[in-house]
Order: sequence, then C-alpha cells, then structure tokens
Amino acid sequence: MSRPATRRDFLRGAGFAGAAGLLGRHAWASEERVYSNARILFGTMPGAGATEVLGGLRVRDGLLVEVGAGVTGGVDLGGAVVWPGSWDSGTTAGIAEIGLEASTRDDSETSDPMQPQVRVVDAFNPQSALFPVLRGRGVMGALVMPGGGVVSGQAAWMRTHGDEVGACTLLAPAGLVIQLGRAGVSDTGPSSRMGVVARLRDALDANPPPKEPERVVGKPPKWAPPVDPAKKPPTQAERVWHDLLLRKLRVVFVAERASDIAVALQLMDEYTLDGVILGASEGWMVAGELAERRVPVIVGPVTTQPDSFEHLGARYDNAALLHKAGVPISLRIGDSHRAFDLTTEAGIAVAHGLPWDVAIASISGNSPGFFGLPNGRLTVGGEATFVVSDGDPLEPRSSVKRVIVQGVELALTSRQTELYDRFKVLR
Amino acid sequence: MFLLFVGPSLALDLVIRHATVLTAAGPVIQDGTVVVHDGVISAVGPSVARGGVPAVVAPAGAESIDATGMFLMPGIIDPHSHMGNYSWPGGVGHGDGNEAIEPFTPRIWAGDSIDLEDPAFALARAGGVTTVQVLPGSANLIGGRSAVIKLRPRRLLDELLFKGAPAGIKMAVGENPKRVYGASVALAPSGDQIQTRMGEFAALRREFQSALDYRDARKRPNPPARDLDLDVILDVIDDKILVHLHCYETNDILAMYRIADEYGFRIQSLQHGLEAYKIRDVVKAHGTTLATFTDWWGFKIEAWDAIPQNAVLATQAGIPVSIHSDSASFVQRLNIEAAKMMRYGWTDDDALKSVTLWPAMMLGVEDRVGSIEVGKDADLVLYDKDPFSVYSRAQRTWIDGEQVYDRARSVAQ
Repeated sequence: MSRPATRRDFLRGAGFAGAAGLLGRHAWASEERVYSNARILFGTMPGAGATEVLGGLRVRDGLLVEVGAGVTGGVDLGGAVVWPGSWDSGTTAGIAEIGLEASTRDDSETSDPMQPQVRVVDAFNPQSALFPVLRGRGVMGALVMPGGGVVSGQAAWMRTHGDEVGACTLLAPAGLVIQLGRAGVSDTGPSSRMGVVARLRDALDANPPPKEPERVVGKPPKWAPPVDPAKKPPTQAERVWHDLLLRKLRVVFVAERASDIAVALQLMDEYTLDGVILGASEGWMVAGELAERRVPVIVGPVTTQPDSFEHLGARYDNAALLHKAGVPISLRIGDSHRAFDLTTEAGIAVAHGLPWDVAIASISGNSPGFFGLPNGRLTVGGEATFVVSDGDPLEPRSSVKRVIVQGVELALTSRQTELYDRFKVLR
Repeated sequence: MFLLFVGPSLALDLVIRHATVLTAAGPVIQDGTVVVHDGVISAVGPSVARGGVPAVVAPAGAESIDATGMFLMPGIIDPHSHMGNYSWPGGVGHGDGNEAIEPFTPRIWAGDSIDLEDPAFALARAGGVTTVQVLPGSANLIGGRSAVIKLRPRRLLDELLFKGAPAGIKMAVGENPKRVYGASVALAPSGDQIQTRMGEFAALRREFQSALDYRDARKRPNPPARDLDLDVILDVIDDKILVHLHCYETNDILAMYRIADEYGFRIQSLQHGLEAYKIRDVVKAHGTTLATFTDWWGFKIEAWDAIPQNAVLATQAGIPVSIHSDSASFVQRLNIEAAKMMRYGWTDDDALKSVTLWPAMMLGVEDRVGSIEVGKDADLVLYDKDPFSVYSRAQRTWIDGEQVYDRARSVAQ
C-alpha cells in the first residue's frame, strides 16, 4: 500500500501517510479483513443495547459486515481495545497550522462581524501536518469551525484522512457558528453582549425565507405570484439565513456563561432555530432548561477553569452534572494540535463523575450524532473506521497501535514520528 | 519563621498507615506507614514487619489516617508557574507577569506581583501541588527573579516563601523577546530594539559585559552609583543565582551556552526546551536540567519540531527531567501529564520523579522536599488510586505536616 516518495512529499515534510492510504483503499476495495480477540467499544450511549462486546470485526469493502464474539481468525489483536476513535468538535485543524504565524491561519474572518457565507471547506487543507499526528493518535474526525465575529461562518464535519477536501468532507455545511458572550465582541463589530444579540435579531428579521407555494400531494401546485424579473436571486448570506429559519441548517452557538446559554435558548425559541451549544462551561447552571428542550451540548474543554469572567462557574464535573440532568452531551478539547488528548479530557470527566461508557460515547459517536452523522460508532453495515489501543483509551498510559479508516489500515507516521526516528540515536 | 508553625493542626503528629508509598527515594513501599513529627517526616517503612524490616511504630497521640488502598507520594513541585502573577479571573487588572518595558529587568522580582488571593492556589493544592516556582514572563531576555513558594493557605507572602531556597532568575531567548521588542521602537526606550536572534544574543553579551565593566568601575575612585540590574547580573556570573532559561530551539540553547561559557555561569534549567532531544548530549554535558511539556506543539514555529518523546529521550541521556505546567490549569494535573510519558518509555519512577524530586533539584531544594525520606519536610499528597491513572483524585494534601486540602471537606472545584 505504499508508493514511491515524490519530491512533494519531502517538501511537505509530513510523510507519505496522506496519500498512501487512499491508494490502499483502491487496492483493497474488495478484500475482506478480519480483526479478532478484542474488546470492541461501539461508541454508543448506554441504554439502547450493549455498548461493547468481546470478539472480532469482519471488514469488507470498507464496511463492517460482522462484529461480535463469533468473528475469529485474521489479525489477532491480543485483547486490545477497538473503538471508533476521537471525534473532536470546534477545532481549527486544517484551517490553521501554527498558532502564532498569521500567514498560516485561515480560521477567523474578521473583515465583517456577520459572515454567514464564509465556509471552512474553502480554506481546508487536507495536507496539514496536524492530520498525520492526530489520526496517528486516534483522532478520526472533527467539526472544523471558523471563529471571529458574531456569525463566524459555516462549520464542517471533516475526516482527518483524505488527500483532497472532498474525500475529507463528511458534512458541509454542518452548522452556522454564532458566537455569543464576549467572543462575539470585536473591533469591527458590536462592543457588547446587547449589540451581539441585536445584530443577530436584525439579520434574522431582515431575511425571512421566501414563501414557497403550498403543495398537496397528487394535486397541481397552487397559484404562485409571477416571478419579478427585476428581483435579484438571494445572496449566499441570505440563503444561509433562510436555511436557518427553515431549520435546514443548525446553529452552533458558542456560549460559555450561563446567561449566554440562556440567550441561545431564547433565540432558538424566538426564531424556532435548530441548534447545539458548544463550550457551555457554565452549562450545569442551566442544566434543567437544556434538558427540558433536549438541546445537545458539546461540552468543553472539561478542564476549563474558573479563570475568566466568561466562566467563573467552570468546574470539572460540568459534563457529569449535565449528563445527570438528562442533557445530551459530547466532549471537545478546544486545542487543535492536541486533539488526541480528548481522551484524557474524557478520563478527567470520569474522575469527576461521568460514567465511563458515557465518556467513551461523548468523544466518539455523540458529536457526529448531533449532526445526523453515523460516524464515530461501530455498527454492522457502517463504516469500518476504528482505532486499536493497547489499553483503556482514556488512560494516558495507553497508546494507539493501529488506525483503520474505511477498511484501510494507515501508517502511523507523521512529522513527529519522522523527527523521532531521526533523533532517537544521536549521530 | 515562627509564623509557619502557627495553627492547631501543626501541633499534632500525623501517621498515615497502610498506604502504597511512592517515595521517589527508593522502591515503592506496599502497605507503608509514614510518620510526621513537627512538620517533618520522622519515619518511613512498612506498616507490618516483613523481610527483616521492622514495622514503623506510630507515636501515641498522633492523628492516624488509614490509607488502605490509597497512594501516598511527595507533594508535587512545579518549577514553572505564573500563579499569582496572572491572578484569576484574567483581566487587565490581573496582568502582572511580564514587565515588557525593556529587554533587561533583572531588578524585578516575581514575588512582588504575587496576588495571594489567586483562587488558582487552592485548586493547585487540590491537585496535590505543594511547591511552585513563580517566574516572570518571557517577554524579556532577562525577565527578573523568581519566587519559590510553598502553597500554604496564608495571608502574608512571607509565610509562603520557601525559606532557604536559592534565588532563581528567568531568562528568555527565541521568538518571544524579538516579537515583543521587534514590534515597536517605542516599546524599548533603552534602545534595545530586537528583531532577530542575532540581536538577542548580542544584547545579552553586551549586558554581561556591562556588568563586568561595572564591577571594575565600582572598585575605582569615584565609582558609579549602584545599579540594581547589574548587581543581579554579577550574581548570575558568580553563580549565586540559578538561571532558568525559557527556550525552544536548539540554536537558541547552543547560543546561550556560548554566552554562559564565555562569562562563566551555569544554566540550571531549560524551561520548555522542546528541542532538547536533538542536543541532549550537549545539555547533559552542561549539567543542565530540563523542564518541559509533554505533548504541546505547533503553537509557534519554535514549537514546530516538538515531539512527545522529548522528555523520554532526555531522561535516557541522563538529564533530570521535570514536567512543568506554565499554566494554572495543567498544574492541577501534573501527575496525569507525567503519566503520558510512560507510553513512550518512562517508568513509574521516572514519572514520579519528574513531578517531585527532579523539580526539587532544579530549584535547589532537594535536601528539603521532593521525596518521602526521614528528615524531609512533610509535603505529601494522598491519592485514592494510582496517581498515574487519569481516574485518580487527590484526597488530602499536606505542607509541613499541615493538611492544606481535604477532598471530603471541599466543595466541588
């Protein structure tokens, strides 16, 4: 499954891992592969059937065709843990390379505080050096998200593996990012929380979706007003507002302070928006309201401290309290380069009361599930994308041994492993 | 000094029994007992006699804690903290960590910026932390002197200062000083605008030379007035102050060694040193210790070559390696950070020492803290599980035998 290195590989310095897997996929497309003798975690929430099984996995055509105790033979995993890998949210992987190098950053469009038309997929770089590092340590996908302004733009669910944008894209747009609290305040935009929310209401009020003629199945459409040839088609931005108001597109509300989360709920009620809350450091303070509406909350980082006026109520057991109150939750880390450490974040949430199987689901299947995606879960008939760890994935001592994406086992090489290989013996 | 021993809990002796004792001074003691008398560890050994080793006898009247199933280890030491200098909640009014007015401010002392009301201190105690070094920020080539403190819950800084700890000073090279002083001439009224690494090291050399010239001039008739900056630099040259160098890249470390060799001073520690693995033989030869992150990378170009094996490769080269926090959040979980290095080859003992004995040595206080040994300060932390498991939680923390954290009595975070 390897190919000769090209000059471009060396210039990129990110190893051959990027394209090798894709070639492999074609080569192995119809092969069957079996992995056995493993503890298999499905990445699903407890309550709806088993969350794990001891046994093996049968992979064919990139899909899981059989999972369970009856699957034997093939690659003996020696009792290792198979799980769907980490699925992070609110990352800038692929749109920002180096934090302090502005020339490598495309994660924040600040020319206007209202940017519904901005799309992360337009800036996404599948060849980012972050991806081999992240997938080599079990990060299989991420909700990549723009920042800046009140309306930051359109987030997308992306794979961490693929040699062009289309191959990486799972869902785009996945949601429109709206930043509440001080995150929405900027030099080019509103200067207060009041202004942030006022700008949002203005935009939503100014862009009612066009009325479509009523249709009744089996009958011709009712009379519709003649099209005004002078009227321009809606702009990209207007279409996004329409989709929001028609609930064809979700809002990802970035909100930390309890009062900002309450504002998000208020806006969702006022305009009947479909949305998720991201961040929610003080979510536990409004857990009842969130649970009542069944609004999904992408919590995190778990380790957010009461170190800012934005979230003086931050606490380690936030996720546990939200879960206990009945809020659908998932976890995020909020550090693109270290997204692999989402496992540690989840472990810390467990130490502070979150049930272990809920924690596993919260870093795998739950976040994609909030967006209607099947990824991050191991199901028969589903995609054969999984990670093999030599122990409890949440323990810092455990390490990733194998990564399989759509049935293809990837090399775990990255810029970091190449540096290690180069310097492990000094010459 | 007498202030340290005020408080009812200190008068009592303390016995912690039946714990798994991670001493950082020898093998793990299963079912071990540690006795504390007058704030100092007075006995360490098995709870019951075995293998010819007699059981530790608990003194009568001591407070006794049954730690069956729990793990006792030395209090965690963080050699790189800004707690109190960037007090919580963050804001303009709490930004007291970087005196970025000129590249050389050896005269300043981090202790003068410490806000004892910083809520982060209590959370660090809840994470088993007992001693930290508060360093000035890294805007300046020579940022100022550090404050080594024990995290006692007290009102007066004097009650926190680690008495007898050697003085330390923060130096910084690489991206940060040139970013701060390359941006605007107005930021550098002294004329030391810096745009490149060449400029940084030239400025450092000039500063050290100024100190030597000043020393000569002070011996002559009509000596110049005392210069508080150059007095400190002379103490550096005379190895009276431990130098803690903020650095990332190999070229910066090597350039600093050239200056240190020229002016005859030692570099006690590399702080961050994310590329130390590439020149670990040189670092070892200079007798420098390393305080580093575990898996941070990519936040700037000089962190682009960071690899998670840095600490492990440095350890294999014989360098005492500490996992530092540089963060009021990570300081609460340094045991978990250290545990991450086990997947790259660290033993339990390496991980343990990286947050106890090695940082104690880095700060020059290893005769007092950093391990569980008779005669050392009773700075201890008791965990409910193996402290290198992510599921462990500190249950109690003691400083000089005084309980400074008790999970059973604390409210959530």
